[in-house]
Amino acid sequence: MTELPEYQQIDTSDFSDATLESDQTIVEGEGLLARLESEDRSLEAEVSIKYGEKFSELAKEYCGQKWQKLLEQGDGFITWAEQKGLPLPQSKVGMRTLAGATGAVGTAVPGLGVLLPVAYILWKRSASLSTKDSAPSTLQYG
Amino acid sequence: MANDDKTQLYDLLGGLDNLVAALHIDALPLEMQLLIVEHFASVLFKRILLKVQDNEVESVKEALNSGDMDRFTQSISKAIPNAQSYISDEISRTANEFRI
Repeated sequence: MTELPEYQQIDTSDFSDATLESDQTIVEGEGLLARLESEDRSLEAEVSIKYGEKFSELAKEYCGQKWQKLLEQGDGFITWAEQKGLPLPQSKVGMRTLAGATGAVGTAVPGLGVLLPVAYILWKRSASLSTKDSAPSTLQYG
Repeated sequence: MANDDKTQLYDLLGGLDNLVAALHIDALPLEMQLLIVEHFASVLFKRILLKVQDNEVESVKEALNSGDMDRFTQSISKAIPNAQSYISDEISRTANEFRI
């Protein structure tokens, strides 16, 4: 077997590890998504029985009104935050949501209607979210 | 945009960042993150709604239809026994159950 010249002996071990790690993360993400979708479906029937209508119908007015208001008036948000010295979102989801609210992209985040009240509650109750073993977050909000 | 609205949007964005960190999904592609966050929000929202006492269902529906987030959170507080601790526990429980 002919030995390759040194410049062709590229060490790909780091690259391979990174690819494997990335693939593994995607697989884990798909698994998480499947579990969430399954639980979401199973709760749908219970909500319909208790509230007499589909969840999507139940939440539509509430979420639609609020989101529409943010879409109409969101363009001053970044200036307002900068003037107050408040940090903008650091997560990709947060930035995408902000881009939708400020009109920087043409469409709102799909499914954001449901997300609005939950994100709001999450923030109000942020202390109950354990992030001690997670990636650095932007807990300095507010 | 009124300051209240800006503050609410700011709170929403802060909640999203916290959620992404808690679920350990930051390394995933954006579209997958959005789907995960959407379904997580739906699951958590439904679990909270299902905890509402039967005799408070109509008042919670009215609060939902008002489009006022603070009114909704207040109505939930009245409609669920020990709401504050329950919601905190439910958030932790659901985040622990559905994280990478």
